[in-house]
Amino acid sequence: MVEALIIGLTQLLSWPLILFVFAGALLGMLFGLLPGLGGPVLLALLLPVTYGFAPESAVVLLTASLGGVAFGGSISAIIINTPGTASNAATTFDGYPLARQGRASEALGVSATASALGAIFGVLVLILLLPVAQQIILAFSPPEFFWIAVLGLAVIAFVSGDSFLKGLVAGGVGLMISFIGYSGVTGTYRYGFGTEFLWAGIDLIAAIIGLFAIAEVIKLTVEKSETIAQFTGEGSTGRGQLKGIKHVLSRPVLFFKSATIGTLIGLIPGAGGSVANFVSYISALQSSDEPERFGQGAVEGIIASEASNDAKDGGALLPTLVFGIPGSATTAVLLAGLVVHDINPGRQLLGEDLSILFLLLFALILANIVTSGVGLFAAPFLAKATHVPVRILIPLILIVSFLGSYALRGNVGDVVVAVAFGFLGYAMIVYSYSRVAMIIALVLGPLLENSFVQSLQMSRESYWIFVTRPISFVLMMLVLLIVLVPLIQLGKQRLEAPRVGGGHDE
Amino acid sequence: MSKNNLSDNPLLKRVVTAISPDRVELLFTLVLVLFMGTLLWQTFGYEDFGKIIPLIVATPTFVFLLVILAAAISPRVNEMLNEYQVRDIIDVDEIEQFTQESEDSESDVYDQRLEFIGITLWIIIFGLLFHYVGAVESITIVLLGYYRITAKQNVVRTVLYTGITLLFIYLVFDMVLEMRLFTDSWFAFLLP
Repeated sequence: MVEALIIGLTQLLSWPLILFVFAGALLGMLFGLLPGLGGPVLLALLLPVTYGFAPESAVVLLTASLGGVAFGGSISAIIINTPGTASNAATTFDGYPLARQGRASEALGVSATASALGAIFGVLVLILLLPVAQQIILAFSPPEFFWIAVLGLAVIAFVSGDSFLKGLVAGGVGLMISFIGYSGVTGTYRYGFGTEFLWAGIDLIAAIIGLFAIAEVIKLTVEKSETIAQFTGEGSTGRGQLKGIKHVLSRPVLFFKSATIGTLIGLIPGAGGSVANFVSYISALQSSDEPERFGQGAVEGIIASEASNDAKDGGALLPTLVFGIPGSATTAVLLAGLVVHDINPGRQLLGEDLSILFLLLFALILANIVTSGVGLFAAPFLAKATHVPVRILIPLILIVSFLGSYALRGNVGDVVVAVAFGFLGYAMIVYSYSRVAMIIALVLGPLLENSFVQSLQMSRESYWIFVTRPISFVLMMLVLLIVLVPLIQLGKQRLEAPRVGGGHDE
Repeated sequence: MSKNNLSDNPLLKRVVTAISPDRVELLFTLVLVLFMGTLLWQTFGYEDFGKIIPLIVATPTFVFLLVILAAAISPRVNEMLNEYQVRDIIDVDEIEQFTQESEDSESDVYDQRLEFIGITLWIIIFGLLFHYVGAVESITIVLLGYYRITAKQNVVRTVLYTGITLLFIYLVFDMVLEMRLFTDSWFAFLLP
């Protein structure tokens, strides 16, 4: 393990990989900065670019991009009150009020420091868990993988949208689409409608390009956005960065609590940063002696949101890299990128490709340090990118989307798939169906079905195999817990509601 | 006829806004119901292992879609359905950002639909040209057309942006990825 760690670190510092870290980090920061684009779009667009790369170069470029997005999103959240990604939404609550008070640089300093330290914390936890993960993975076989897939899907249904039912539907439709094509495990060709094109199923990358990049093009056009930034703030960007750094360093308890929340939520497949930053923010608010300052420009709010948001990347990488179950849409695309380069999660990555795993983790840490460093000094200038007219960006995003889908197999059919998913994605935005739920379902669908069928084959078609194995049983209970607790909470709220209403009437 | 004159045409306005936003949502839900219903129907025809999981997934999804369809038709069902929201599970109602909602006026809907039709046409044109004429040619036409007509850029900027984009595509897709998009294109004579 130590040898692999040293190899990974040496590779990262070699030419041209170190260049890819900087390029990826800056690209990530730029895409994070542009609301609506974010990690999945950038990774989906970068993926075809890496086809001709060596696996190490591709891993570094993709991971560094992922690392750059999280902090990038906080810049526009603070300066123009528009979170670059959903994961930065809670940063606006106190970041923008600080900017309005002429303390934008201070807020950016807080965000940059909390982001970089949060990312390092998340990756360190991941490295510490790796030896255990290796043991765990050997104990996992099809029944456990089945429950992990169900766990990922169960969490998605609750966290990825405003409407519970629509979240479930998005996941269900995604799963059914993932079953299209020939299945080697079940030995059937399904939902092909007599076409040859669907024999290999719907390409995940084409679907992702459509759901995120093309859907955003349509959305930006329909909203008639002049620039991606919809609101021009008046926040000053003076010299408060150092003060911002001190704010984070002087609140270690808050930082560790927030980073731990982020890492733990990241570990749960499907939960993602959009949940982590809210949970962490609410936790910081509840434990504060001066909760009334939250929403008025409390630096604690930014620390909580950004530390958890960046720490969750380390956590989310564990299920992604160890079990092949992405924790978010971004890690789903990253996972696809790894598989394209013949780097398979699980035993291979924890065994013969362990040095690549460390390369990936160090790239993530370095990318976060780079973006935070650059952000401290250049954020005010970078924010101007949000003022590039949308009309200039739209054809460029469309072209890269078309070429990206076409480059997969040189088949125009994949472009058609991307366009179809683009319109579907736009409709999902308008009618509040979760696109993240659909993407995760598309990724988890084959695992869910294959592990289910393989388990039945292992047990000679006895369903007891799903509950009699210890880990399977624990996972099943976890699934039940995740499904039942919110429902019980809801039931309790509904029971208490009339009493509260009655009180008011009196 | 200029774009402004065209958009002021009352007949066009009537056609474009003929279907209310609620009806469009209903149509979208109906499409999903039909799609899921078709898949569910097909599932019954597969062998045992090939249909277990799809049946487990498609049946509740289809039922949920019917509930959503009912909510789109009946305001009472919609009211009941809206009680089950994430905001009820995670208590975030006190935060102002979660409580902001907006209603689109009729003219907003008309403008948004015109924009939607515009970008849809560009995507369709791009797709058709991409398939029948070629990748590089379609990119050139779309860039020149979009920047000049939709983005209203002057000729110099239109040509400049198009040129820079084509150069970027050549460097990334032809030089790095060796996809040879330019080999049989209009610009083949420029290649070294």
